[in-house]
Amino acid sequence: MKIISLLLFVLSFQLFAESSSVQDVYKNISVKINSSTYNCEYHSSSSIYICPNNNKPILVKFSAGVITAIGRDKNSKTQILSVNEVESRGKTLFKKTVWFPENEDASPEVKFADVISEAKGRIEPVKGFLKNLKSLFMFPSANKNIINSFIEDSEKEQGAFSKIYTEENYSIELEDGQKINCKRGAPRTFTSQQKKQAEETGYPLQCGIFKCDSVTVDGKSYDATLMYESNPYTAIPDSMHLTDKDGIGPIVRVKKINSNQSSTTLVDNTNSILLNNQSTNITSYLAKAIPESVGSEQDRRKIAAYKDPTLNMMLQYYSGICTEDKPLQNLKEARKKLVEKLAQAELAEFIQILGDGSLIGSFIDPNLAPDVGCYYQGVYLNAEAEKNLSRIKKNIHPDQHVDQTISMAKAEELFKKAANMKDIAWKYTADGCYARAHLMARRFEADGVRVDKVWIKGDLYVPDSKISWNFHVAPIVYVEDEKGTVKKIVIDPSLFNRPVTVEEWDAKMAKKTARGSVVTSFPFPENSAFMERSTLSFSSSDPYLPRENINLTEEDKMLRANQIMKLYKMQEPR
Amino acid sequence: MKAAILILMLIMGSAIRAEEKSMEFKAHVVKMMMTKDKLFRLELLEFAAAYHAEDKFEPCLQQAMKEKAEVILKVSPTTLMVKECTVIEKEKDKNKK
Repeated sequence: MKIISLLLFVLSFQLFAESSSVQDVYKNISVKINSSTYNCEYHSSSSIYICPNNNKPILVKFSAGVITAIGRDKNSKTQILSVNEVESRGKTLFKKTVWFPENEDASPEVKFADVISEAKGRIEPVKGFLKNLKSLFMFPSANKNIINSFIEDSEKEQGAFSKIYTEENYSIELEDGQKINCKRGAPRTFTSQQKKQAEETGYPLQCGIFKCDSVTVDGKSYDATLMYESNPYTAIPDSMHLTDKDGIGPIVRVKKINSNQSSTTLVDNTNSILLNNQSTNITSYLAKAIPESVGSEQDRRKIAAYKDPTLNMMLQYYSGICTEDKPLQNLKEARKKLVEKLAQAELAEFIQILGDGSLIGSFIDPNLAPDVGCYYQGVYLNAEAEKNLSRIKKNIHPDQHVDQTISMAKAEELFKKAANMKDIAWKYTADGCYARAHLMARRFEADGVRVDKVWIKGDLYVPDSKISWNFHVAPIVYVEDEKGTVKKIVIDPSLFNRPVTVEEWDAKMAKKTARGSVVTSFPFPENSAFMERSTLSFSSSDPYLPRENINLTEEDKMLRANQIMKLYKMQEPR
Repeated sequence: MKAAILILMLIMGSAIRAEEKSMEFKAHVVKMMMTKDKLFRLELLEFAAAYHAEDKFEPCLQQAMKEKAEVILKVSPTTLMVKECTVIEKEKDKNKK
């Protein structure tokens, strides 16, 4: 009974709310837009007011307390109008209380700078206004015609818009005034998943890589590729890329992108911050991190521009959208060549102890290295690291003198012993190598075996697995063969089923960087992947993590290692 | 009626069992990079794995990086995706007036 009363109450409240709506009480209203007043009549079938206004009708809508109006500008284009006041029977129903400074001359005939702002400022809001006004066949013919003409015009404009954004060719104006034409690359045959996603999001799938006419800079001609996601709602900036047989050419920026069919400006970057060099963008930030030894300032800026993660993201995205035709292929090749310069650059290693006591390695510009630290066995050390050299030197380079060698048979025995350590989470490969390596190392040492550690740093992954690491570590033992040759052998049951050489261990991990592994001191340079290489380094068995406080005690390390293994043991797949 | 409740309880029980447990730990964020999937790839000081986070966690992660503060992360142990991020405010900051 109580429930029924409650339902009745809710129902009556809704009816009351409905009956008291402005539209039902006030059939005729006068609407003030700018300095003109329009008389409008309510039409219940469409839930809007129609203001005839001679040959330029205006439609007014009350929705969720918001009043919106559309009309036409002097060129008969549909336009959202700003309502200042609504009155009926001498009563003010609405008055705009917050006033923004408005340019009377520009409103309501605002001139949009380009198609993107026109789409967002005019076409979309008009489309939104007309969204639920489609079933109008019950209307008296005069009103039906008024509303239908708005709907038809809006649909025509939307159609024209989608044509503009799917054109095969655009004409481009560059910042230096050169005008060129660009042709869109061919799309792939999309997968059903891609199609479904496009349908769900309403985001069109089309190739955004364009092959353009050649561009001349300083008397030299370059192949030009435009990257332009021609969609007014994209956040991806347009960019122009020049290439020649040597790779990436100078950086040029697009000033305008024009549609050939409708001679409309799609993009106008004239006032853009980037075009006017007013911003410190990610490129200039990255350029500072690239050593002078790599090349001229222009080269470094170029490398920085092509290491921009957004650009890489887009190149990968278009690889799935466009066929691998020449422009995309050229651009990928040229980018590869460019970052190769960074991969091959000679760099200095710098090891420092920071204020919080953590020991960190990094690659730095070899020209600047002598200014920041003193040189010790191939690395530059900051003052604090130099002060603590006696404590850290066996971590930087393990003791070269090895007298505790073992046989391969013993290494195999250690491997089996490790793989059978029940408290180590071998099956949880996603993380925990540092804890595994430390526990193994200490247990092997308890057997009287000399153990060091091998570290690898980079953008690493193990093919055919879900493993993606930023570093990896494992214990190494020293194996002596019959001829007396001593080799470093890695014990890593998380990747192998037998002891392996360092070379095999390194080769197991694929790298996303341009260059393979180089050997450095420990702690490895943390910016290895940025410098387009992976690094292999060797330390004593003491370090637990690559960047750790030099005051961390062995007790702490063991405690952490055991805790991590306990946690990951619970996560192991069964 | 009793049977319906029993079935419901069984369904709920199996749903709970199927739900993946998250891991929770404290860490320092060293590096974050946007990937092609519009996810952040995270390098954590104390871990070797590459973790991933949706862009909604950007403010938390950025704050932690900027202040070199520790974060409490709740992550999926299988996908290594961040589910929750909380910055641990440093003592001296707490005492600021």
